[in-house]
Amino acid sequence: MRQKRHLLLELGVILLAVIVSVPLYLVLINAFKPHPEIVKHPLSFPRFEVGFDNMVNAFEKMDIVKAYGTTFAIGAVAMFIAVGLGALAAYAVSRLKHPFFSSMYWFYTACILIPIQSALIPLVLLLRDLHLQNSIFGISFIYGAMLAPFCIFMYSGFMRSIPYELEESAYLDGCSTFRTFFQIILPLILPVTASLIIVQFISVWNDLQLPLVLLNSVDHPTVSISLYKFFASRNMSDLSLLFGGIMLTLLPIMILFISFQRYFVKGLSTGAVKG
Amino acid sequence: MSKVKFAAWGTVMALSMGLLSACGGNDSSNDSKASGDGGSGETVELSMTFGATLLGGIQEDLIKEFESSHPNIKIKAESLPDSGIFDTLRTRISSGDVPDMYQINIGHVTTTLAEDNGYLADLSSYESMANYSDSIREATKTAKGTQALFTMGVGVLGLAYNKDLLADVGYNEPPKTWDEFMDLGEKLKAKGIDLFAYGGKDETAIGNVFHWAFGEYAVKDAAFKEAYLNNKVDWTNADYRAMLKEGFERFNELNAYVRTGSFTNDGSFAQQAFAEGDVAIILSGTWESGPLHNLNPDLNLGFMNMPYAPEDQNAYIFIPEDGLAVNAKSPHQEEIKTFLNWLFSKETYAKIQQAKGSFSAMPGVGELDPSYVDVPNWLDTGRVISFANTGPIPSPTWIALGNAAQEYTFKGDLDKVIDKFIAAYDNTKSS
Amino acid sequence: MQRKIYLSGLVFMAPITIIIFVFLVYPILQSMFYSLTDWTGVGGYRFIGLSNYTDIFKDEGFTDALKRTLFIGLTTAVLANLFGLFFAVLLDQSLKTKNVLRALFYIPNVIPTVVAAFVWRYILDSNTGMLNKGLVALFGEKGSILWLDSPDYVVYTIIGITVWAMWGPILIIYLAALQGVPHEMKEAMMIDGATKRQSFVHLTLPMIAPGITVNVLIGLANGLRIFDLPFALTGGGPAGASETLSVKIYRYAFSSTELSYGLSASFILTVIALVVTFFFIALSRKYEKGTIGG
Repeated sequence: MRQKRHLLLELGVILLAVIVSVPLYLVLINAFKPHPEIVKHPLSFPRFEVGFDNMVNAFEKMDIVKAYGTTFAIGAVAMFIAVGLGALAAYAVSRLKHPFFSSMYWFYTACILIPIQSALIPLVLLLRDLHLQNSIFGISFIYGAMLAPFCIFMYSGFMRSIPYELEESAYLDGCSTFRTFFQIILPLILPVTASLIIVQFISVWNDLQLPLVLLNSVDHPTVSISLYKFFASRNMSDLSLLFGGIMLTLLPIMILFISFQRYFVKGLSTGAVKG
Repeated sequence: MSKVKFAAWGTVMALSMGLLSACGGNDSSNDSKASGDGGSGETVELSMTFGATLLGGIQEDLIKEFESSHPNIKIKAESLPDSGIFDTLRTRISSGDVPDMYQINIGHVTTTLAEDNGYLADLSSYESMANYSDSIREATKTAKGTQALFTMGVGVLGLAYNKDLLADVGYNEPPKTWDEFMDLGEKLKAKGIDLFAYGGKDETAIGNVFHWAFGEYAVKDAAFKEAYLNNKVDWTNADYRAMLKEGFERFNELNAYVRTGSFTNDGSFAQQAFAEGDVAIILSGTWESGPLHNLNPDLNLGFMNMPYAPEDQNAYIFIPEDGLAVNAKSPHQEEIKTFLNWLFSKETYAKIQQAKGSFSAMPGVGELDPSYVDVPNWLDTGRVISFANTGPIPSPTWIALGNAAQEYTFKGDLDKVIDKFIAAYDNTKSS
Repeated sequence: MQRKIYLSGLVFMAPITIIIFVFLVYPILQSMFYSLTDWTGVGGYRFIGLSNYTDIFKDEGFTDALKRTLFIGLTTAVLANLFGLFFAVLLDQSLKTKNVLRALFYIPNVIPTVVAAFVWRYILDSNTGMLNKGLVALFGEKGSILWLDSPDYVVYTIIGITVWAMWGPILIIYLAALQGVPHEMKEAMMIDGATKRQSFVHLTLPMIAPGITVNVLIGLANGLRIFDLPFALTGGGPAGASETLSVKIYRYAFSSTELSYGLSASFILTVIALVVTFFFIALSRKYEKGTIGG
């Protein structure tokens, strides 16, 4: 009886996974079909007659290489700020027992909720005043500021569960706070770091609003902007090209995600959720 | 442990690569900012930002042609999706990062913003401006008299229709009255074809019949016309309210024959359905014959005015098409002049016309698409109303109008939805 | 020594705090300031006090959008958490296909919203969408449901798609939290005669309470602020039925000269987001403290 129920549940979950994956399935199969076939048989498995043509065509038309480079650069800088500098701050607010630090923790938590979109126009002006308009650094700083609060929140949760004895022994040995952080704490938080980097990098990769408003799409095209421009000029008349383009935007992050998948749960389970 | 170490090193390397390319990227963008200083006979780079369909899609070829005959001027063209172009420009105006040349629409809020902040150059001294007809030149001046843009064409709002589908149900001529229009809808419905579709997600399509409701009234009543064009209508006036009511009811009547999905779809869906013969008529304008022919070259295309009122009282809605304006604060005025005079010379303009299939704004230039054959006659009647369909009512309020009308078709409390619109109108009224 | 440690704590915090202040807090404070003026985004302005705020509450379009946004935000947060927890519990029971399933459930989160909107439109379109075509084939004309074109249904469709996209990280976090519950304690409870349900409620749930807090935060933060999906999928229609506050704010900010009006709406949205979220976090912290004793 136990076995049967188990099996049923497993089937139910698999069914749900199938339903959830329908959109991805659609993108995958249609990226390999010519346009007329997509219109007539959207669900059918492709016969691969066009092979990778769709994606190659999209590749040529989208100027995707520059977009990959730009987006990657923005993501990298943003990660350094949000994850790297965030970890430092999280250490301070979660380990030090002064009320100042605990109130800063609440400040950072509140920042998670600030909708940056409401301040787009002041942001534009700010970047201009700092001579950072239409630059990769400018937009990366904004992403860093947006994503850091959540990183600090997650890191704090995790760091609280690290036993104090580790640090105490380090101090007794004469280590400064800096050394303690880099040599003792850092190795312990690498799994969480991996998870945070994946999650935040994906959100930077996919974001459309900020690059649209803050960057010139010729100087610094991001992947999402390239796709957006691509979409708008094709309409519905050439679905094969469209799906090819979608595949190009999805592929890098899918690869990133699948290869780092195991760190995900590991990173989160090693105590990030222990408050 | 080695796996984690590997991941750590990988991350460090990725970050360093990212930082390096970010630095490199920053330098190049600084260079292009510095193009403003290179005015001493070296190559000048002009920046141009516009929507993807503005130049009929042939901009790359045009630019190549220009650059080969003018080696010291380079054009950096930024083409954005039509739906996002004005948002981007608005931001650029705020940040002071206005391109040398940019797309504007005469009635849109960005034009006002550009003018008020000194970014709109007066183009009356440009040679090619003389190529346009007088009425177009007048229509492309702002309220303050600035000759604002080189328009792409005469934009007349109307309905593109499938001549064959109409003929199949007995309409060899397009319907000329509202009743005929509804009758056509019934007949098409019986054959399983939708009468009408529009792309409701696109703000300009959302209020369809109201252009004509307001237009017909403006033809009759000069006071209303002035109030409307200045965005100062007092809707407590009983006559105005009655006219508004009629508009809502017509919208509702039409809705019985409108393709489902018109409220939320992108314009491209409506176009696609029209090209495939699922819909007989779409809300369109004299700028669209090119794309429509591209979608379906066999389509027997016609163009008619919306038969809101009997033909002799009906208004024709005229909007000079979007075009290119010049940044008055650019240091490259001479080079811009050279480029734009070339771009809007009769020869080049004719090429753009051909690619776009729109209605030429320059007399004697370009061929009129056969579906637009009646339009010149319309423009000769005294009943042409020049509204931009992106103004004078600002976008959020126009959307509120569309929403109110749609709400009426679902729930039906006419006075309530009218009040909703009026409240939204009063909020964005000019004071 | 203590002082030295505190000092280095400050140094640790300084870089990110400066960046957050300059690039996040300061622009928001500016927005708040400008919402009290008639600034159009460029040029000068006059101080007009609270008149934007009084106007906005009289605007039925705004109050509707406010209610709608709250509804969407809360419902997506609750549903995503319920589903996430339920499936995390299922997946935790060492099913063979666990890793694949985990990846599949997460992938919707990885897909950019513009793409998701396009694909879902492709599926759900009232005329040409695959789903309706299938339903009509099975049930005739009546089977066709207006997923995106009925003001009554569109909100639920949006909620559904948002939950679909949001689910992944929430599921993963719950899975991770569940793995932290020691098996021995579960077995001990079973031996003492507790049912599965009792063991769940009294043992598991309290132990994953911090995970619940994080996930509620994620759910609310995203749900209350959704913009991309309604904007790209339905443009706020039909009849404004899917226009969330963020969409409205965007329109005021970019498509009109009423920027300050839009800024006052965004200030209200921020305040509401803060209030609602802190309320939930306080609640869940209380639950945490009450059950495991802090």
